[in-house]
Amino acid sequence: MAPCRYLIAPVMLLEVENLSFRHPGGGGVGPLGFTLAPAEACLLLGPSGSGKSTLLQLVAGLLTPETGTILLDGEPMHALGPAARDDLRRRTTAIVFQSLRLVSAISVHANLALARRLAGLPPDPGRIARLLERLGLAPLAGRLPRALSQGEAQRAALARALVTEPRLLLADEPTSALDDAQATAAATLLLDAAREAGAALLVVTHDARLKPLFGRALVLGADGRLAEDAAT
Amino acid sequence: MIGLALAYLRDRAGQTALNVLLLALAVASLVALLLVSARVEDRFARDAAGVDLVVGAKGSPLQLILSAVYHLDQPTGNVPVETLALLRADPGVARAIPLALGDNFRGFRIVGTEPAFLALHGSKLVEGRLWEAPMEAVIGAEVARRTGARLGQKFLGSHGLGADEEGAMAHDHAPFVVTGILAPTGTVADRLILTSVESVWDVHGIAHDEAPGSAHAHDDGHDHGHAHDHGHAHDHDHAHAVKADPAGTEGGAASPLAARGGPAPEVTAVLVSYASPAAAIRLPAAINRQTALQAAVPAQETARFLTLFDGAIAGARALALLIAAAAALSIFTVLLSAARARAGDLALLRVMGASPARVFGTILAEGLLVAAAGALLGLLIGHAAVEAAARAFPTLGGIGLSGLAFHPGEWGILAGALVLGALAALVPAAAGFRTDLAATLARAQ
Ligand SMILES: Nc1ncnc2c1ncn2[C@@H]1O[C@H](COP(=O)(O)OP(=O)(O)OP(=O)(O)O)[C@@H](O)[C@H]1O
Ligand SMILES: [Mg+2]
Repeated sequence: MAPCRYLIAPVMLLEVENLSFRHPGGGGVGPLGFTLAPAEACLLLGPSGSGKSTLLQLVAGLLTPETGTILLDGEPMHALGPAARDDLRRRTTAIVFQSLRLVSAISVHANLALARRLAGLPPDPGRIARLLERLGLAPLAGRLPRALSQGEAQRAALARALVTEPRLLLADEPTSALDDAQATAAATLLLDAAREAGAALLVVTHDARLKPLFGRALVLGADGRLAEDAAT
Repeated sequence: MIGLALAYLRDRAGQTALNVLLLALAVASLVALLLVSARVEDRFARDAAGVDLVVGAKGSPLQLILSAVYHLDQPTGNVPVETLALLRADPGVARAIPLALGDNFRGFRIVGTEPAFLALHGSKLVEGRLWEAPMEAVIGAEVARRTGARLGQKFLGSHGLGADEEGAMAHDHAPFVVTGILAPTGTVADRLILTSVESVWDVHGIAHDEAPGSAHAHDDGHDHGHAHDHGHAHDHDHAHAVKADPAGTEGGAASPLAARGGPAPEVTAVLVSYASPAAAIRLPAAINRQTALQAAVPAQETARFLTLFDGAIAGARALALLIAAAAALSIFTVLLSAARARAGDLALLRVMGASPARVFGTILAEGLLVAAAGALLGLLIGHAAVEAAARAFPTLGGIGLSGLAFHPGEWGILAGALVLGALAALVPAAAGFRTDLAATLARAQ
C-alpha cells in the first residue's frame, strides 16, 4: 500500500457511476449510480428480478460491469483484472450470502480462523473469541456448520464476515428465512456489529420489515434503474 | 491448505478410508511381489556366485543345483571322491570345491568342504579360526544367532538334512566342536555349518587315509592358489587311474557303501569354476557322458526354475496394477463428485479470498493425501505380509526374505502411487480452479 492513499483518503468508500450489466438472458441492472460513505449502513430494496443481487455481485467484483465505473476505497474495481479484483475484495470486502454461509467441513471457530488467514490477516484468537461471544456463538464454536440451526448459521456467517475487519460488508437477503422477530434481531445485530467494526453496510432485501432500522435505502425499479435513494 | 484438505477428507471419512484401503491393497501387493522376487533373484544369483558348474550324481539337474548350491533340496546321490581329483586334473577347471552332505544340527546343514568354500561366499571369520583337526567346525552367522552356539561349544549332528526328518538319529559318538563363527554374508553360507570332508566321513565311519583330492589341501587353505597347484600335481595319477578304469567309477556310484568291502569315501557334489570360457562348452558335455556323473549349470537351472514363477508373478502384478487402477478411478470419482457437491464451498472459499490456485491445491492435496496414506499403509501391509510369510514358511525365511529390508524399487511404487493420486485429483481440481463464482453463487441463492 502506497502512503499517498492515506494522505488523500477518499471521502466516499464506494462510488458507483453509470453502472450497468446484462445477463445473457436479458435481465440485469442499471445504468445507475450511487455513493456510500465509510461506516454508512444502507438497504438495497426492489421487486424480485430488479437486479439487487446482480448489483451486489458487481460491487463485490464477482461480475464485470458492461458500462460505468466502481471506485472502491479509491481503487477502480471495474478496470482491474481478475487477480487484482480478488485482491481488492480480499482487502476490503466481506460478503454474507443467504445460503453458502460457512465452509462445511470445518468448525465455526475454524471458519473464522480460515477467513482471517485467507484475507491475509494475522491470527487473532482474542478477536475471534470476542466476536463469537458478542454474537452468542461461544458455546457453538466447535460445531460443524451442519449442526447449526438457520439462525445460528446466519450469525456464524456474520461472524465469519466481520472477523476479517472489512471496510465494506455486503449481505444478500440475510433475513429472508427468518420470522419477524428473528429478522429484526438479525438486522439489529448486523447493524450493531458493523457499526462496532466500523464497516459500511449494503444489505439486499425485499423485506420491508428492515426499512425502519436503516438510515438509508436504495430502491431499484423493475427496469433495473435506481427508483429512489432516500433516507428512511 | 493441507489442514482444509484434511478436514474435507475427514468430513467424508468412509469414502476416504475406502480409497486409502484400496490403494494400500494395490501397493502392498506390488511391494510384496517386489520384495519376494527381488530377494529370490538376488539370493539365487549370490548363492551361485563363482560356481559355473556343479558336478554330482545323476538325477534331476535342478535338484542337484537346489541341493548343492542353495541347500534347499535333497542331494541326487553321492559321487566317488576320485571325481574331485579328476576335475582338478582338467585344465578347464580353475577351482573345484567338494561338498559332503548328510547331517544337520537343528536343521542347519553340516557341510564337509574345504576353506575355499568360504571365499566363494565372501565369508569371513568374526571369531575363532577355521577347522583344522577332525570334528572341528565353523558355523554361519545365522546358525550362531539361532542356536546361540559359541566358540568351544560341542554339538552332535543328526542324520538327515532337515531338523524334523523322520527317524533322525544323533551321531552321539562323534561330537563337533565350534572353532569359528562367520560374519553374516546374506548368502546360504549363513545357514551352514562348515567342517572338513574328512570329519563328515569320520562321523559316518567311512575309512579314508587322506583328504579328498589332496592330503594337504586343507592344511594350507588360506593360500588357495598354492593348495590348488599342490592338489593338481598330487591328483594326477588318481585321474589316470579313473580314466583307465571307468567301470570302477560306475561301480562306486552304483553302490557307494559297498565298494572295497566297506563305505567308500564319497562326496555329494563338486562346485566348479571354469578356467576359461572354452571349458563351458566342453566340460559339461564331457562329464554328462559319464554314466554316473551329471554336470548342471546353476545359471541355467536357476533361470529355468524362476521361469516357473514368471507367469504367476506377471499375473499377480497385473492384478495388483488392476487394483491400483481401480483405486485411482475411485479416488477420481470421489473427488469429482465431492468437488461438485461442494461447488458452493469452493465458491465461498474464493469469495473469502482464496486464489484459484489455492482451491486447486486443496483438491490436489486431497488426492495426494489419500495416495500418500494409501501408499504408506500399503508399504506397511506389504512388509508385514512379507515378514509374516518369511516366518511362516521356512523356505522363504531360508532365502533371507525379510519384511524389515527396504528395496529401492519401493521408492518407485511410492512415487507411482503419488502420481496416481495427483492424476486422479487433476480433473476435479481443475473443476475447482475454473469455478464461475457469480454463477455458482447465483445458483446457491
Ligand atoms: N446467472 C444469470 N443468468 C441469466 N440471467 C440472470 C442470472 N442471474 C440473474 N439473472 C436475471 O437478471 C435479472 C436480475 O436478477 P437478480 O438476481 O439480480 O434479481 P434480484 O433483484 O436479486 O431478484 P430476487 O429478489 O428475486 O433475488 C433477473 O431478470 C434474472 O432473471
Ligand atoms: Mg437476489
